[in-house]
Amino acid sequence: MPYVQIFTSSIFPNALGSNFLSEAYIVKQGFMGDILILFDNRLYVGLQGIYNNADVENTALVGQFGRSKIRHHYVQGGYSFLPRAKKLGLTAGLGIGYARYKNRKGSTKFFDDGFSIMTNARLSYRLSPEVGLQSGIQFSNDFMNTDVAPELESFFKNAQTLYFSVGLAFYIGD
Amino acid sequence: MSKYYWFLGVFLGLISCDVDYEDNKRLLITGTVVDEDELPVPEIPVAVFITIYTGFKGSTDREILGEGKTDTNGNFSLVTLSPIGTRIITAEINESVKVGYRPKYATYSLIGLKTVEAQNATIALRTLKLENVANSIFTIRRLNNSTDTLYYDLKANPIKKQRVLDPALSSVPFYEFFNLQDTLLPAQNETSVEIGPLLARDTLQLDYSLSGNPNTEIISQKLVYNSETDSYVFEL
Repeated sequence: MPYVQIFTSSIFPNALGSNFLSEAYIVKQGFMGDILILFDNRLYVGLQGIYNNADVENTALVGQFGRSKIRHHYVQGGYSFLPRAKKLGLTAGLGIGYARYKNRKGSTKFFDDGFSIMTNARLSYRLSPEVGLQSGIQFSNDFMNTDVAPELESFFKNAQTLYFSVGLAFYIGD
Repeated sequence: MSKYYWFLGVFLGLISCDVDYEDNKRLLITGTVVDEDELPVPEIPVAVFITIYTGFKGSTDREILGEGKTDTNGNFSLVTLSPIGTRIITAEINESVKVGYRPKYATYSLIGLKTVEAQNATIALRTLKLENVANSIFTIRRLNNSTDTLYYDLKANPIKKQRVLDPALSSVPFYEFFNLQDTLLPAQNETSVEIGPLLARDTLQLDYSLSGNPNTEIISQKLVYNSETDSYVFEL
């Protein structure tokens, strides 16, 4: 019998590599939400949304604007290493989705977007049949659509982020 | 009272001239800045902007698209946003209000950059030569016994030099003049005025008339800079 897990997390993003996100932005703490459907003891599919903001620190690298709202939405699937009856849960998953950087300069808005892939691992502990604690780590890679000069493509076309997350888990229908 | 604020907000919204930017696009603006001896000029400020109208009476403001400095070889490479529509993009090198401004060089404006945008989102500007700037003395000296008052109007190039890249914008003057108006009084045989900073080696234009002959039409004369005396001299 399938059942549902909902995770709500505070995230602590870290931009990696040498790209527009790591060199020009200060990425801020944000929010992540997951909804997973477990079909049996082991496999799951679900959706994930990540919402965080960033300030532009080095405008010479990305253009003169102030801040971005960064949004990621994924379809994900994964595997649970421990059976559902256990209090402790350990999962690993993969996702594919969409990344959108909603930039703002004064009152003007424009965006950069692209597709994104991610992989994650999460540890959870069930406090009661309905509620638990969970923490995870996630790596995402954004493949951006930004049209730039050839010598800037490696800088603008990819952005990697490592997220640490901690939050609550809710169990429905188990 | 709140409805007046609401009306004011709507009104200001209607007359404001926000700039829209292309999604998923950046421009790369490159160039090299050298001095009159063709030597690179490092650490000189470069700003790229568009001019926007902010309200009534033609008042304008700048919307900065990107800014930075030249490197040790005089090269600059700026990433900027890409405005939508027929906006006029200007690059300004050595602007006086920027950190790193060098008073010995003229400010150089390049207007209409969008017309030289390549298909690969690059605007490659050629080598940009900064002209030296000089402070000079302008002297009016009487050579005869005339005691007429001399009214003069001195026109000179300011330190800002403009170059228009877009032929459609050719109505923009290559130079902007500033005017200095003054008089040589009957009791004076000579007067000197410090002028500057000016583009070195430039000519001045002097328009003058005499009070003893008020019907005299205004006479124009070009004055050439004398680098040995660091002066422009007009002899009456």
